[in-house]
Amino acid sequence: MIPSSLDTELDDLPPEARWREWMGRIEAVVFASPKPVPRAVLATLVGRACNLDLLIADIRAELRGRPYDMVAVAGGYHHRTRQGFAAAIHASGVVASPRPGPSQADATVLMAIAYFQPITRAELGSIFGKDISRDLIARLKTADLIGAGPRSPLPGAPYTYVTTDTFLSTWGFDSLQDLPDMEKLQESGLLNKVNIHDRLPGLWGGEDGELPEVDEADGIDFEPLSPE
Amino acid sequence: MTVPRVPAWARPRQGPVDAADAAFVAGAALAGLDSLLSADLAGRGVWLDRLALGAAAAAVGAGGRPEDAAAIRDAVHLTRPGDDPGPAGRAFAFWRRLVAPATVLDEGTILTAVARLGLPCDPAMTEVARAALDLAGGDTPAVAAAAAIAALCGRLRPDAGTVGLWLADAVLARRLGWPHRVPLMAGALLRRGGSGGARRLRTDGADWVPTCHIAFARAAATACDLAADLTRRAAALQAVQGLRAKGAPAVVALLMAHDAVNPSAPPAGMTDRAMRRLFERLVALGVVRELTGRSAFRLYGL
Repeated sequence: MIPSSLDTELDDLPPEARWREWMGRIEAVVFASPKPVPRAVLATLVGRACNLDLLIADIRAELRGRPYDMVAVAGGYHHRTRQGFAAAIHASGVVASPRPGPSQADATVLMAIAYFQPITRAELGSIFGKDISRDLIARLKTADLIGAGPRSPLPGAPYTYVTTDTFLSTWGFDSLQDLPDMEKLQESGLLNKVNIHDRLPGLWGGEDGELPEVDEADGIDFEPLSPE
Repeated sequence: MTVPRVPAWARPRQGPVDAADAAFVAGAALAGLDSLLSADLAGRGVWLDRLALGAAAAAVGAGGRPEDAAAIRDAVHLTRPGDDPGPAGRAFAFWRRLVAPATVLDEGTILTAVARLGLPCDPAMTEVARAALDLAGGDTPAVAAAAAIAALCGRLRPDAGTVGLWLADAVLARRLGWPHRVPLMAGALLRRGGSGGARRLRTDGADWVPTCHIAFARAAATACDLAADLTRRAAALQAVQGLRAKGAPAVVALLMAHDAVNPSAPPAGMTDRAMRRLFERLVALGVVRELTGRSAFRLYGL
């Protein structure tokens, strides 16, 4: 993946210049990539003697005070604008959603998939008390927020769905353990497909079949960190 | 062939045990496991694979996820190539990496394993990996080294407790010069949280090293019992005569090396149907079990 012609050791440079060059390379690659760059890829860009963690710490130290940062998301690194500037970016309209985030209803289903994965469309339907449309699943799939998991051992071998690294990086999670209120849900025993259906039938299914709003007071805020 | 057993007096009793007694039973039980590992026993592959599955199930349960061993097995066998096996399937792959003879323990493999498990690799994790390699090559007593790495991981990366136990098993195997890494700690120490809740293992108490001694003693005894059972089953399978199916030797080899075999993934040169018939015959002979209890999507194993 990295052509062998790239000189990673940079033995001809004095140590300080070598370090600067490595820092430049790492930041340039992360800057150029539309997706988070896995650590393993970054490790191929620098010399064997280079401590990647110290290098990245140096880069981030330089970015302190800038409106953007190089953050660890989904097992890699990515440039992100700082949260405080979200309002300004939003108002400017320059990122008028080339890829709009999922709607509230889609996000609610996505959240259920995140907690209960791997889960089939039928199982999602029984949680929400209404049919989850193929279109909704397809939208999440097209946005690369969910992917195909193991087949379920049921007639027709329906696919289950699992969340992707894009899902983690879009919401700024490092791993699935970062899901909000995971521990609270676990303590109340809700993280169980059987439990949630038996104990709270129609938990999210309103009478009219509409998905209710999930507001911030519930502690589950599924707004993306910054518009992309 | 007789399989080395752990004597009854080396099996830790329930309830409080003092530190000296804990170290004593751990030594005895690990010696039993040591002689088992140096013996040439049939079914070593299926034994290690099943221990890995047990460790994955314990880790997944302690993490608050609902999947049990059967669900994890399903996740792995029913995932098509290119699809994602999900969190539980990734946990099984993680523990399989521990037992795989091809896995060479170095910083790269450890960090790759952690990343594939879906946990972030940060400087703290790099530090943990380096400490594990130092302990594996150092001269700290084996169980103390294993306890130290689990405790360090618990302190630096409390979210990655199972990684600490994985490393502890790896460090112990290296310090004892074993030919295989055996998953021991997770199955003995992790408990499914109450009503599906997460349980975090306490690795910072004064009794952590004795706790590890007891855990290794209990796990070694359990592993030896499992080996006795699987060696008997493996011998019975190998003794079957007159399997005329074309791929029968290949299927027998698969059964000897894996926790479960999916009949819809037959070895080369064999049809699905022939594979299914062969399994039906092996089940009728009583040497192979159907593991799922389903009438479709069946999985077979010793």
